[in-house]
Amino acid sequence: MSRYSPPAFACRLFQIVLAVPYRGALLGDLIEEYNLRAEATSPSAATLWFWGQACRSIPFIVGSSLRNGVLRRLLARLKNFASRRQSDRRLREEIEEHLALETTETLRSGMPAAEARRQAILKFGAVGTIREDYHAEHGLPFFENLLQDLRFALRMLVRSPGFSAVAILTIALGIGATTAIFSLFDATLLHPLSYPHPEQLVSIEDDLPGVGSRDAGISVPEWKDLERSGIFQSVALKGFGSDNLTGSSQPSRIQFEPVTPGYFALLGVKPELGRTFDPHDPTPGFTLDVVISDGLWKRAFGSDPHILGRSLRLDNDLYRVIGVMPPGFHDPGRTLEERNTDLWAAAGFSADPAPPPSRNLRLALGVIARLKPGLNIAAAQSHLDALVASLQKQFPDDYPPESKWTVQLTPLKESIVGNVRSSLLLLLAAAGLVLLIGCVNVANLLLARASARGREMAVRQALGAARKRLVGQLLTESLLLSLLGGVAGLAILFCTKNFLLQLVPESLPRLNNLSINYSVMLFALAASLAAGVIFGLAPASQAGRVNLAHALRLEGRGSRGSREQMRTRRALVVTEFALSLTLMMAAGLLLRSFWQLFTVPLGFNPQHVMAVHFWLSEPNDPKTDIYGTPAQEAALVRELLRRARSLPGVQEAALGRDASIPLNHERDVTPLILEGRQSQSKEPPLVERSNVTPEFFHLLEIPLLRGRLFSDADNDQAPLVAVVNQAFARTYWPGEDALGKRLKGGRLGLDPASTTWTTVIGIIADARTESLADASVPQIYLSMYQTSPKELAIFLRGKLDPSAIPGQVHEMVQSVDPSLPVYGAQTLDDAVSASLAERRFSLEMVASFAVTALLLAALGIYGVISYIVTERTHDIGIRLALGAQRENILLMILRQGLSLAIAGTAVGLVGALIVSHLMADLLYGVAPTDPLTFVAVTLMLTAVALAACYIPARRAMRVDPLVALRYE
Amino acid sequence: MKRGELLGSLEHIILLALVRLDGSAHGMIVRREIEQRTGRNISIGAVYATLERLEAKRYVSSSTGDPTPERGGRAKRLFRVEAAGNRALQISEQTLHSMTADSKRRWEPI
Repeated sequence: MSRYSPPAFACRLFQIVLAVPYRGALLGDLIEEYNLRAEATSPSAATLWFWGQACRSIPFIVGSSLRNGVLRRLLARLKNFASRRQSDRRLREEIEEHLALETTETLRSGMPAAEARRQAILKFGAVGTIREDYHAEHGLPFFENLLQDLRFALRMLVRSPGFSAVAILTIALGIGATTAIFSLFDATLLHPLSYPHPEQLVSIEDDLPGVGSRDAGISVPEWKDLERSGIFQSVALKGFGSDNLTGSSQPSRIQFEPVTPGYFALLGVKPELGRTFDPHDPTPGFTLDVVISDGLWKRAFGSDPHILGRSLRLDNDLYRVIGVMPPGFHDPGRTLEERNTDLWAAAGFSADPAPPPSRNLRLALGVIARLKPGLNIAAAQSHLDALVASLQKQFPDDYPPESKWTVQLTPLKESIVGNVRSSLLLLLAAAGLVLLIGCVNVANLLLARASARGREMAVRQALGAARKRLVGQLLTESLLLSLLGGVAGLAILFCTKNFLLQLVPESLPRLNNLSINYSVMLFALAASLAAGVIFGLAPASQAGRVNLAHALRLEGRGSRGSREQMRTRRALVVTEFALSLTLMMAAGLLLRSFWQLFTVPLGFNPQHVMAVHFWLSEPNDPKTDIYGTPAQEAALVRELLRRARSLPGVQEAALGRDASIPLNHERDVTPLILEGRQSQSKEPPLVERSNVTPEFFHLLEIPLLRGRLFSDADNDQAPLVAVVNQAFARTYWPGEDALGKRLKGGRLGLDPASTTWTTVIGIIADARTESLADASVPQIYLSMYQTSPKELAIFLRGKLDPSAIPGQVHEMVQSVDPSLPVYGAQTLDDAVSASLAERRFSLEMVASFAVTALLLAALGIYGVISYIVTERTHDIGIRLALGAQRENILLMILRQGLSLAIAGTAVGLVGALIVSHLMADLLYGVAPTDPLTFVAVTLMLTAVALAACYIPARRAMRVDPLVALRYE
Repeated sequence: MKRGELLGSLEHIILLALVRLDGSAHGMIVRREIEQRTGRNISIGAVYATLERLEAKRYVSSSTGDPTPERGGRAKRLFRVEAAGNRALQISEQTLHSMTADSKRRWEPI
């Protein structure tokens, strides 16, 4: 009779799904029928029928088993588990009764008592096994085993406190580091914004890639088009500025944002007190109403309960407070200053102080919007692209095709945190590597201990322990270690939280407070479990494969069975070294990048220079401005300079714009029109510009290359002049002499009504005043006496006392004009180092991880070599007795260690190359394959490895052959 | 077995099949018998579930046969009707009969 094979998969499925007693018979019936059908029709028809029967049977069987009491049995098991001591006692009593009965019977036949009992036991069967089987049937064997294993594991941990401490500490370090970075990650990237329906919020950016301009600003008619487009629920504009606040407890400088009236309605946040703006307010300029932050209310108004309706002046303009925002509210801005905005004013941006709206007049405002519900970003973007295309056709003059005008949507959260993602990911990867190395180390330790417990395992197996139980036991021990390590790591993190917070640079946008919340704890738990499984696998996989005969023999020499263990341990150490090398390489490259930036020639001299900010009021009505014309402001400037030079310790003084302070984050750009190159429809390029007094260049020690600097004669009656840097000259007049060329700035800097050209009179050297990484940013400088900028800073050079200067400058300025607030004093050295703050943080973190990794790897190699020496003591004794030199023994052991290190380095180099290429955009001035770093790190690692091997090698050298040979 | 307990319809059919098969039958034979006589294609799982229920009520009893290679090495389980099962069948038949006897309804042949 021919045999067909029924579908094996279906059979196995059946077996797994059905846990009913008649499963076997049912399956047998199916198989028999299958064979008959396959014979009668065809195997494929029979298979089809088989599957059909199987699928249709499952509901019935499941139903019947439930009804028949699988649940009932489970409950019974639970009940038995709870009362297992009593049931065990009862079982033992019953067994005892049986044995007693049997013994009595046997006694009658005349055997001695002990023999009779032994016969009875033999007849009954192995009592222990019977009890175990009974419990397996009636209780919950999984939990009973778990409890037993836990108790044993605890005892093992307590018995070897040194080992346990080292293991737990290693895991704690790894988990602590990883969890710390994760909490940073969590606070910054993982949580949604704290506004309702944050997924609908987007930021909108106008780009003009054709003229190299990104985030070029938006014009008022465009804004109205966006609102009418039907893509968004509402669109709001937000500006940023600082003003002098008077009318509160003392004049101060505050950050405020002019916003369109629909702003708060768009965000969906309700005020704590009062109300926010009316979204339908049509006022073209600024309204009278302002909303203030909770912080400002407390600081400047002393939590005045009658704050609503109170009036205040911003740059001498009168406003009225209509609302206070709740304490936790932060503006969704990109920079820290924006997020700490204290005051919001409503404006239509269509009247003073804004210029009259026209489509090609772009305002430097941020744009945020809320999408219509249900519309996703991709769809919205495509609708927007269609709108852009139609507007370009409708207004060809305002949107010349060369500028390639596009409008980009980005999720609001992305625009706030996007730039920190890569550095945080790097840190998380580094911390993960440290944890991995820690796991490898602990695995090594466990393996070493496992070889010592080889006999214990062998004896257990000989007595009948199932391999699964042994593996379970070892895994329980590992998990216990790792969980304890995780708890310890969390505890360490908790205690050092404040210290760690100080290390975090301010630029990281912390959307929520850094705290050890549930997700962080969950992460720590998951990491501990994962770690426990990872390093528990090594000894656990070895457990069942012990050669019983070998292990049970009474000797401790390096038996065959442990050769495989030795291989695993070596492999683990090589892995550790490889991982350490990768981390150290990353740290080394980052260090070199940092150093390059740190020592880059600045082009100016920041030492002994301080800058103090003070801003003049800019009232909305230009006619009331007392410093409105360059002549009026020049008088103030000259007086301030005169008095500044007489301050103690001051050798030089100059005045400039706020943005002239090197390496602060202020960007001040002006659109540029070059003589002979203007064309009506072209978008003008934007250039960095500054307004300074003539002493500025000398104070900062920026050398003049050609032409001349400003002089006192360049006042508001003289022709307009400008000084440019070499990058500017090269960019806009390549190959020509920039001196004498003429240009015009846009409305934002030079007097818009004048048609006067500005002439270039001097070319200065390039200086890294905008960015440390980029030396050739085109810059143009205008004379302070010919213009009237409002945001000013005093520069002082000399033997200055950083703590006294702010007060002294404050007094000095107030003695000239008491309504001017003075704030924000900083030394230029601080400004330079602050611009490096984020890099420094990454570097510090990765470097500390790398050092930890190196230490752990050194410990690892120490452990392995130490073990080798112990195992080979006998062997070494023989060699010494046969006449080997002690130095040779030393060299032999060192060679062993070196071979491990070299193997680790080789593997690590591959990993390091991969990682360094991934990190390429975080590096500066150093290639991802920088040979110097590679060689240095390799040498350092090898040296550390040799040092770690030296101690056990010395021990090997000092082996006394007599003792070694006697040890059997 | 109480007076008031009636057999479910599947229980009834399977008991009848077992009676017809006269002696010991295993699940698949019962299923085939039902399919041949009534044309109803019942799943083997339903048959077994019902047989278990009947066994719990002691209407049928089961015994284990020998495993054969045609059954993939699994034993055959044979069912036979017990006296209680016969009695239950009789009660059910009488109940049905008493319900349909005085009815004036004519059944159309299907």
